[in-house]
Amino acid sequence: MKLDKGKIINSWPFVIAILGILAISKIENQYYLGMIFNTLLWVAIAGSWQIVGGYAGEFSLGHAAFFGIGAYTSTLLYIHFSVSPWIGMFIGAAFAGIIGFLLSWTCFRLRGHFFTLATLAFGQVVLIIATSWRSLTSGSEGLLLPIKMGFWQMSFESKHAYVYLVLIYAISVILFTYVMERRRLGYYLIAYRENDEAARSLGVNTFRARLTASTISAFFTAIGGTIYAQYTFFIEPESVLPVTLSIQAPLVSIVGGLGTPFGPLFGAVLILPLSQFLRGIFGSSFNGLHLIIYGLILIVVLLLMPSGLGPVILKGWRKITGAQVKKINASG
Amino acid sequence: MDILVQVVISGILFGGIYALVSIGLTLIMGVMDIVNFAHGEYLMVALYTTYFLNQLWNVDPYVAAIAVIPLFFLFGLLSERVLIRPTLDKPAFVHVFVTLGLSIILQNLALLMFSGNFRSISVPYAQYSYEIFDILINYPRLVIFIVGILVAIGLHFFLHYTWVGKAIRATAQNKNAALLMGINVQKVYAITFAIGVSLVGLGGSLLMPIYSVYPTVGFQFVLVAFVAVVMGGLGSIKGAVIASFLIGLVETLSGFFIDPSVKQALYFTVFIMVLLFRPYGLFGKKTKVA
Amino acid sequence: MLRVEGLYKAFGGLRVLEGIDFQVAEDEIVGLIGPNGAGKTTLYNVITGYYKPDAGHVLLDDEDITGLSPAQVCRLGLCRTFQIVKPFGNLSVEKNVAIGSLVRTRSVKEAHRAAMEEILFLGLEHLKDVPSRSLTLSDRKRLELARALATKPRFLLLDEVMCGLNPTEVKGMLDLIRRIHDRGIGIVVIEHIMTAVMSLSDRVVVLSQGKVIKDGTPQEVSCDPEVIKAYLGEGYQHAGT
Repeated sequence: MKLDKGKIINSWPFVIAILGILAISKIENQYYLGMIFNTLLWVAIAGSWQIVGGYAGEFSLGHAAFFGIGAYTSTLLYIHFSVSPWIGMFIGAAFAGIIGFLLSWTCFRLRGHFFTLATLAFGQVVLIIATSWRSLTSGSEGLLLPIKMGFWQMSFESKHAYVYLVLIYAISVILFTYVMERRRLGYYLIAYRENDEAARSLGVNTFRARLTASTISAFFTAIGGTIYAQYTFFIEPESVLPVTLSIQAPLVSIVGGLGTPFGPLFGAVLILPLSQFLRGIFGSSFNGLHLIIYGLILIVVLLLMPSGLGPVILKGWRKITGAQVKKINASG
Repeated sequence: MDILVQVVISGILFGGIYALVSIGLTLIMGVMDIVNFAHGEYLMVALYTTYFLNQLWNVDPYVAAIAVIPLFFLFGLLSERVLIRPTLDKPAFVHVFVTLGLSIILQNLALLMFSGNFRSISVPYAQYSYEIFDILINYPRLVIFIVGILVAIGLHFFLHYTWVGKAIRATAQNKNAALLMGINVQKVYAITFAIGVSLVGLGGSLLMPIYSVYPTVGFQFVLVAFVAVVMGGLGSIKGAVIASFLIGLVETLSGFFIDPSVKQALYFTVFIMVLLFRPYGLFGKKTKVA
Repeated sequence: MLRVEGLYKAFGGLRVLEGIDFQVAEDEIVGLIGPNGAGKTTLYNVITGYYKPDAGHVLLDDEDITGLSPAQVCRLGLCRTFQIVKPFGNLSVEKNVAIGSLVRTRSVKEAHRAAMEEILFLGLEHLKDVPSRSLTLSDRKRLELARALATKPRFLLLDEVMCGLNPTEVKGMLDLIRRIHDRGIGIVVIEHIMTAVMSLSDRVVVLSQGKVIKDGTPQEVSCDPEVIKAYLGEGYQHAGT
């Protein structure tokens, strides 16, 4: 009996999540729907990033490349060959996975900063290619997606559909991370992050584990690219391949808590609505203010609570509920 | 053919600015083992400082440099104390993202205060040129080139023949051994960082007569500087300088022959290749700050 | 049977191993001693795949394992510990050990079960949920052993597991190594505490300047003039005789 009461209290996040999901259908305000879409998209992107960034501790600053590859692959297939974005999404993700695999295969021998710098350069190379290969991508003019509504086209009249779509995406990423953390791959990645030499002495093929993780990470990131393209009906290099995207992915993860399945969720929920509110309040007259606040949050979190806000919040909550469970037990 | 020689010369001269940026960066990376992603933003701040000194009080950029160097030395000391030092005993990603955070803040602060407009100053000598054997040598570019070389030489002597310089090199070689020898490693780090920042400041002032300033101007420069640092061999000042001139050359040459946007893709690819196949740089074996 | 044949290894101009031959059987505890810089740890690094030898072979039951990666070597049943312990600092003791067990099973649940056996064997059960970075040195050394044992090795190469321990802890460690040996695991120990090595080992191999200068029982080794010379220098020998 006691256990059940504890379980009920600890299942609050799921209750809130389910209520939240039900509530989405009641929201009609386009502004809030957009905000929810953005937040969930970033839960998923940051979550994808941290499969390799948070668990293996390989700090990529080139993930925009995978997002862009996903967006461009599905969009080009859709425009030129009328391939459904549903299929294009997985082709793009597979393509990004292959690129991610090759990039990691060549760059994983670099340790620390140099891996980060190489991925940063890689992201820039992809950005430049997309900008200058005009015959394929129309360069910086961007690509307009055909506006033809329908499920098969992954194009919907209502924002609700997109929100649910991105919700499934975000849940998939979190679920994958959650399961991975409890499987051999997760153990191996963490072992590598904690101490490469020791991991290898215990029979861990750390190179293979990292390759697997970065391939999956690129795969998931690219799916976000397709969903974003279908949501905005327009992509250009500056919107799907910017270096800011490569920076924001780790930023959200760090603020929320690295190497925890729910870290990106906390990070995105804390950061994205905030930035949208700030932009809403101060508008274009205070251009850049929300980014200044981003930067400040990032630095403060890094210097004062490097394990992120997620664990801090959870600890706080456990304290409260822990007390409650005790009270129940005492009275029961 | 004349045009080609002309392009080569101006490319090499412009490499001086990359040298000023990358010398500081290679020093910081070599000694402190940190990647300073905000390095380009220090350049941006220096450009704005020079710009406003010129616009408000009509200060010549080269005169401004004299004020900018000590100012940026202090700026460097301050940011090292507040932002870098607390990260040094933490995992490597902490300093990477703290400097990225600083870079984001400075960029957007500039955007907020000065808008995204390109700003430039006009000084009479911006177009001055010396003519030697039918080749025009642009005066501000020549200044950048000469100062770049002088700074490299000066720093070399500083590192090899002064007590502080030797302490810096000792710290780069082996931090713990330096500590045991009674070197105040914290102080060495602070001075190293401040020197790096003041060199970037100097670069900003010298660049202002021929360049525009805008909030994101630093990013392109810092990427190039990273390329130069890695190509030259981490911590090698000579390597960074040679690599900077090479990049300046390649950049103008490729800008002349191929699409200018492709040239960047080109040297980032070269960068990744160097990282992979010559991790100690194009010229060096494993060096530590020399 | 673990056999090493004619191992050579140099770093630049520095020749660290110059033709090492020796062997260890599963029913042996072999002490590996020698002055600082003799090449003991380098030998471990070559045997377990961290360095590739310039020449020579490492054989495990006549199977050539030279040049395999550390992970592969571990899978074949050869595991080592590090002189400077390398725990996965943020992970609990139990998870540390479970990572070792995962070499033998894909299932995390099974790995944790197997890990608990080793934790009990090492007497670390009261610490199983503690993050390993907060352990004492003595417990960290035990954790290294537990992790290594979890990979189900046939041979265990120990690198100064008693270094830095107090006399009581050393005694505990000696007892522990004997118990590990009783499980049928062949053991090589690098150790500087002579009394410990001599009481523990069936056989002692003495390394000096990259060569095996003596291979024999503890008694033979401790009386050997070559060994005394290597440890104490020429002058001592002359003074002694």
